Amino acid sequence: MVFSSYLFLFGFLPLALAIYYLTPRRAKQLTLALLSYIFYGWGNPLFCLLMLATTVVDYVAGRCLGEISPADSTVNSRLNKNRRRRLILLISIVCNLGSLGFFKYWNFGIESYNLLLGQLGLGNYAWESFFRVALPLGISFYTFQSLSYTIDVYRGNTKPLRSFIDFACYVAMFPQLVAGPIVRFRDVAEQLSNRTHTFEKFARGTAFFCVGLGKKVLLANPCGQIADAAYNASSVSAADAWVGMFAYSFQIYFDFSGYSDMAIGLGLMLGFIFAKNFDSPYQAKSITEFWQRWHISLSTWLRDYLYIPLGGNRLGYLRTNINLAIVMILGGIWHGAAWNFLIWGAIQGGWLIAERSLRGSVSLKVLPEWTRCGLTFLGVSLAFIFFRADNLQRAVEYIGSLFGLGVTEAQTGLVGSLIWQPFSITILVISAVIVWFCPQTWDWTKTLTFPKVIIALLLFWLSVAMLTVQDYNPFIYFIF
Amino acid sequence: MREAYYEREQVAQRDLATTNISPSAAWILVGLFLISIAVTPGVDVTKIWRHPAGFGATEIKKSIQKGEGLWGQVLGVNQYLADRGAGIEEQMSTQLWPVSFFQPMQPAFVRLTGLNTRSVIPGRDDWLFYIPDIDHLIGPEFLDSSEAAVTNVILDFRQQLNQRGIELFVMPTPVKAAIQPERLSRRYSDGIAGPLTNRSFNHFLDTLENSGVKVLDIGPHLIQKARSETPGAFLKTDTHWTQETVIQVAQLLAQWMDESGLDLSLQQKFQTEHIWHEGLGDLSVILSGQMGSRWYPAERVELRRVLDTQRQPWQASHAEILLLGDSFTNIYSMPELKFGDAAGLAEQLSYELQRPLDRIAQNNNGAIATRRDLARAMAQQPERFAQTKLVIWQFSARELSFGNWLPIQLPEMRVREANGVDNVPQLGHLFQTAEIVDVRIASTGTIAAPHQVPYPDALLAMEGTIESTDAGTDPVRCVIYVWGKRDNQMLPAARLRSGQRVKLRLIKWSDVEQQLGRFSRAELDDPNFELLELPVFFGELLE
Repeated sequence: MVFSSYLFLFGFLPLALAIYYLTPRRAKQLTLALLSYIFYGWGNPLFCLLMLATTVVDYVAGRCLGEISPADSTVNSRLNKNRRRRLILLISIVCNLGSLGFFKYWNFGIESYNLLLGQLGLGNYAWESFFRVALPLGISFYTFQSLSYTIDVYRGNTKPLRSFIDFACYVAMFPQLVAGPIVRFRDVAEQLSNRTHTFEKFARGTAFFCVGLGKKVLLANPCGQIADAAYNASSVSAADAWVGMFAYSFQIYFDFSGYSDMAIGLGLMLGFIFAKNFDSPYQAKSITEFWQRWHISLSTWLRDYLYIPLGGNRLGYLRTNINLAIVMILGGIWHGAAWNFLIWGAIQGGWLIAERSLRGSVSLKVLPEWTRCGLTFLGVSLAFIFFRADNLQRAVEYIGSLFGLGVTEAQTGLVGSLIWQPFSITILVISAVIVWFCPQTWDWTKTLTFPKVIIALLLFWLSVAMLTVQDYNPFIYFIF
Repeated sequence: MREAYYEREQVAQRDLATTNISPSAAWILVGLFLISIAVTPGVDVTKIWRHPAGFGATEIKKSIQKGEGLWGQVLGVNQYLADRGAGIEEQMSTQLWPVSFFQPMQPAFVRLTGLNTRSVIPGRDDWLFYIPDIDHLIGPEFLDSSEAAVTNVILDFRQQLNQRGIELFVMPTPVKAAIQPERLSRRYSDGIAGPLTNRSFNHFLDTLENSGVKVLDIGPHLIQKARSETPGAFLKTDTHWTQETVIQVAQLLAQWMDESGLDLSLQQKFQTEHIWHEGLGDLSVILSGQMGSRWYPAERVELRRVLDTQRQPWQASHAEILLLGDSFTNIYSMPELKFGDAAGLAEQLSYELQRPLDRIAQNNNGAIATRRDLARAMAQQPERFAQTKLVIWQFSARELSFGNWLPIQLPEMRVREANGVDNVPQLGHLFQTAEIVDVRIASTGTIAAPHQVPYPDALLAMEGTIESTDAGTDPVRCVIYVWGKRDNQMLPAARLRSGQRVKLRLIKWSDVEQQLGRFSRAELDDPNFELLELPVFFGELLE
């Protein structure tokens, strides 16, 4: 179910809020878990079973880890217990990453294998008849969420939950279930059992939701149409290619940060507080800073559960750079099972390593802030070409087009007719103004005056009106 | 590092737990928001949950019984629930009051802001263009994506026809943006040397011509017309060509056939009359609905209607020439397309040749729809094609990128002719008139959402089993067409799903094919064309 759909806005949401607030306090978790399963299973109920299985595995793992406490034991018994705890953690990791790997990377594996055989002239041995699997929505998000629980319990950072319903509610919570932000257990552990529902919180949540919906429908979707025109064309002029590239950068930002705003808003309506997921990333003055501001819940997750366990920056220059590369490449492939995403991650890793390496010798800080900001945006946008293009060959061709190396034909001009519409250009300008000169939703909603209330409601109704005109509505991160 | 992380959570707690908002502002914001989201389902609740889109315990039970083994039953229920969910979502996205409230504003939005919808983009001087047409022109090479399926299918089709003593002419029809791009973008203000085409088009033409297929590339002729005349080769607010262009193409075809030296003997006299007609372009209808709007008003065209010697409108008849076509053939011929009748491509060609002409045409899906209808007709009425010597296959060039290019095996019609074929073998004696029956649906097609395609009406194909008739016959498998969409409004039949049992009034398809056969049809997923020989009916949904 998509937040920016009539089904959600006028069907699920009012019903869910009504049921949730009519439910007695002690049954709220159960209600929220059930509502979340309905939300998740709407398109394909069978996927609920997979999420339930993940939930059961990690719940049981958490309980077992809690039972086997190494404290107050003899040395021998402590060693034995540590071994058992490691085994339980391993089972949880294997189950989680196993299901993620199977559902997300099985098709990719088969296709890559077949491609390789084809290249080697061994096409007859290709596994063409092997079955393919459908990707369950949001599997990357809830797997990471659920996994972080077991790891945190293992590390002793959090206590295991007693109630299965509370845990099921945590894993399945519909506001951030299918496209994040990735909420870690320890962030909401307290809130699961003891959260407040205030009118003020609800109002703030409403404002968040309206702004997020506006970002998605009024900005991301039109920017997406511009980007699609450029990226889907077989040939594109240099000017159109640049506009298309920047349009995609705006699309992905407004799409994902809009979704995060809606998730935070819905969380607030239900009494939860989620941390910030975007912090004006295009205002970053370096790639390192960009990653501190973009999809923060993922970057901190990768930092805490991958980068630091690999040794972080504590093992010398070379090992730090290798760790950075590993994290960014895995982060790239987390987004999607394709070589494009891997290369996108590698480019990001490359940018980060280059920045770290240059830090001592060349200081970019001599440049004016807006130049550094512009260069960072350019670097990020260029890397996004690999994120957006249909395949590797297309990405390379697109980069060629940026520099006038693409083949232009008579019909290439039609791409411009789709891009250079007055409405499209206006939206691009508004997007740029919002990205670089306006406060982010987080700050904008801190003080809600009457004019802001009117703006929030106008954004909601403008978005609803726009949905009737344009049904271009996919969330980019839904497929991850 | 961990401190920094916790700091982030603490910032969230600090920033979000309190908000600087006055109680009255909070009440207004929350109150109006909740009213907005709650009133809509409140008003439209009956529409949303009305049968057959709702969830039913009986239907779930049936889908359990249908599955084989536990896993089969689980999959059955899963499919049922997913279908119902999709049904409700579709219902909400077309029937809620915000949709009907904001929809009429769409043309104004488009006209004033230059905003494009999913399928329509405004051009210069109030011209409208169909986005899939543009996508075809600028998109990937169609020969790449389909691994040359297009050419293979055309060659195979030609071979099958040749084996039956029939010649094939192919006429891919250029789309509007290919011929008149200057109406879309100033970049083409200086004109174009030739029609805009998909990258694969020239290679496609060469391949076919080198293989001996006769292809009429009318693009260059239309460019000349667009340059020399006002308003040009295409209608302003419609995807199709002007009446003058149809006449020009008919003349080109006639001339081409003369030069091809075909041995045609049948002749028939036709005459013409000229009338003025006002019609609403299909792109205007996508934006504004059937009533149109002042932003994109109706267009006035002069029709050259073709009449027989009794001054009756031209009728298709069994002939030596058969025209297969899509909406480019149907416009000016099918009144539902808003631009009059008796003046379409078949009529004009028949007039230019002064010969009778047979026609199988269907709006949309020109790559497969008419081949499928031809195969079905050959199986069920082989006598119709006893004299056929030439098939002219017209389809929109857009189909080269987006069409369904599955090969179809034409039936051996002469063998069938000898044996004699009843259109409805098992129920022939029953269906002399309309019959009310219970049908268990096995599968259905999928109707394109309203306001997305240039065809406001569509028939939905269903495969099902007639379980009971008044006469108590044995169950019979059949294909049934029902109205799924009229005037861009989804009808209850569009939400029927497999496994449901419905009461229908059935009429033999052949009895209504003349009136309904040319409407767009949402066909069944039938890759092996196993359903072609089943009896076919038109149905009216009773309950």
